[in-house]
Amino acid sequence: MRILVVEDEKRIADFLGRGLESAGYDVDIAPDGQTAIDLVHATDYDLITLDMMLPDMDGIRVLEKIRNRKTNPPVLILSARGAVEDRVKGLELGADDYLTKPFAFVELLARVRVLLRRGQPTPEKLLVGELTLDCIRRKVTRSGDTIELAPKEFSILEYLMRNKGRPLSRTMIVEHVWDMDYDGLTNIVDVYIRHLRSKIDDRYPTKLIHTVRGVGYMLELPESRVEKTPAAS
Amino acid sequence: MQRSFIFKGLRFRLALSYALFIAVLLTGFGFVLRGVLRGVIETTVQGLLDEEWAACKGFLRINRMGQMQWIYDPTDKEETAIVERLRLIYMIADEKGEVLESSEMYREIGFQSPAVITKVLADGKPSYTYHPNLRGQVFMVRQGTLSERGRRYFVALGRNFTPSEHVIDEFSVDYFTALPFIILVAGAIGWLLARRAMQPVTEVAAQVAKVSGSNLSLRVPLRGSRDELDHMIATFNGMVERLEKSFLQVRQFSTDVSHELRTPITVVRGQLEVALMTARSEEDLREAIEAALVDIDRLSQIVRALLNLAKAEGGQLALQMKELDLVTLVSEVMSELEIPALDRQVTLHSVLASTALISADRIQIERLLYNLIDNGIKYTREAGFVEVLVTADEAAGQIVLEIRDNGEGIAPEHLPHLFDRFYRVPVRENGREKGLGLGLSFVSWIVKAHSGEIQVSSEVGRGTTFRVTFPSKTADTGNLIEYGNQRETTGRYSNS
Repeated sequence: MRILVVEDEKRIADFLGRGLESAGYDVDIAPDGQTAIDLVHATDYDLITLDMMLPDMDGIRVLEKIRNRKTNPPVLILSARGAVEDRVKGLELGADDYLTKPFAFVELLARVRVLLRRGQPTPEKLLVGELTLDCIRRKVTRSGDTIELAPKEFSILEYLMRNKGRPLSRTMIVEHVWDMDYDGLTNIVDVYIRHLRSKIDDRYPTKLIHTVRGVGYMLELPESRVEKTPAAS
Repeated sequence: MQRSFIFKGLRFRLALSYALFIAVLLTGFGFVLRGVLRGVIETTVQGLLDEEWAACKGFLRINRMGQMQWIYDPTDKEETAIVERLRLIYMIADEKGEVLESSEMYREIGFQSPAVITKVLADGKPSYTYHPNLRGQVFMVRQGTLSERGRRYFVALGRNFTPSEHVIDEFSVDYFTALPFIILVAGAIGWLLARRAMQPVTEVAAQVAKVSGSNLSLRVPLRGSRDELDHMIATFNGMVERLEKSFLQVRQFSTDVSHELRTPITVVRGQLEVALMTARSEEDLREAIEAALVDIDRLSQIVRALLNLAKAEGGQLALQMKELDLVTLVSEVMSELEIPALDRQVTLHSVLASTALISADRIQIERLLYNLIDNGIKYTREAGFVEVLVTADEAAGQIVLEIRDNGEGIAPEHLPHLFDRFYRVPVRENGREKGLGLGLSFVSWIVKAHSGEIQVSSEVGRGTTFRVTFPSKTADTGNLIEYGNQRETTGRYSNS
């Protein structure tokens, strides 16, 4: 997996590069827009992180240029501009996610993992161990027992199962499930997870929902850990 | 609605004062009219009495014995009527005031006292008086002198004035009864006129109400009538424009500040997080912590500089204006900057006038000099020079301070923004220590606060010159430069 980091502030590029490499990705760094465009044309990247304020051009322009390409790597915008309009504009222009500086690196990592999963086929029936989720009929069973879930609980579980083995931050869950951006109210996620656990995990010996310190939550079978999360280790 | 209530109030006051004005005017006019009417009637009655007097003189004879004789032809009906008419209200007295003859009706109104009679005889001129009788009628009496055979007699002729009084009274009653209605009508017309006059005000008020914090770019269109209201609209628009400007400035400022703070915080946070994840030795961790501390230092520098600038621009920084010699100050600052200059192998050089007195705050001027000279040292190439010139331009009443370097220069597109907060000329080379982008904003503020001017000229590859002028202390204050006008031509002022 190859990631292009477009960032003019050297020290930010430094830690992004080191951090992503330690998480097992190959990283290239472009300090300005032109370099970024050249690199995208020469190499197939799996993901691009893009700073919005570059010395030679606006991040939006870089986005337009690289979007013309056939291979369409997901773009994660990293911006010091936190205004809602900037966020909306970035997402409208085809960015896949938006993170405002300053951000927690683990949050970035969680988002990168989810973005990299994109493009993989999404099955109608999700399966983790003996837990199944039918996306069409909206039915959840574990070991043959039907489990009744509230709509939001269902959405959270679906999101967790689709990203099994990848930690999801509380903000990501809020953005995904509630379809809005409300920082600070992320403890609503904790409440829902508690409810989910009481329905899915409490009566069974194997726990599927795990708390990832510093990030949020993750769903996986304990035996089948494919990817080790650095923050959890 | 509060707003329309105010306008109603104004409209009401307009109509009311209009009605009051009409009331006072018409009342006064009524009294004048009444006076004029009375005067006209009096003159007419007096004229009639004068005619009767003349007739009287023709018909009345007094013999030596002092007896009255009315001489007329009793067969002439006309003459008889005249004489009877004359003898209806009359009285004749001698010089001593003794009544010689009088009519029945005259007795009812009472005789003149001997004193009055003597006075009238002494005056020789006729006079007119009013005499009421017991039945409430008023008579106008003409008192005159009749000379006959060397003796003088007092003759009074009267005429009933009551019908004339009635005319005047009737006029007054009619007029003043009609007056309240006229005033009411005038008030109503005033009310309507006031609405017409207030209509544009109400319209403008509706427009103005649309202007709010979120759409300060809105302007109230001029009505094109070039009247007071247009003037008010223009004034209002000007106010909104100034508000909008400072509003945008504040918004830009907070955006800039949050942006400036976000970057170092991102760096610190990211460095520490990644170090926690990846560090294999204590040495790695120590390195990360040290790097973070450098960034935290930078953060606190930004916060301090921002606070200073905010204080200065918020007017909280009181300047201690004293007469001081710029030459001495420049020499001091230059000697203090010698070591950092030597460090970069930059030659400091100065050409100074003997004295250059300005009225200034010592600390701020020192800060200005540090900033500009230090910038020169930082941005000049190795083994370059920084030259400081202080000259007195006596003709313009100015002290001119110039700071030149032969550094890399600044590209023209960056020059207009040089004094903007957080504006940094982008540099390609890595590793160069980045400034905060606040120093020149502060310099610009200091110059402004001293009624001075600052300009910058630069050529890429040749160097940069900052030129600061201050009003000279000895100069006539009338020569002070209006920097507000110069701003356009130099285009070097930050709008902060």
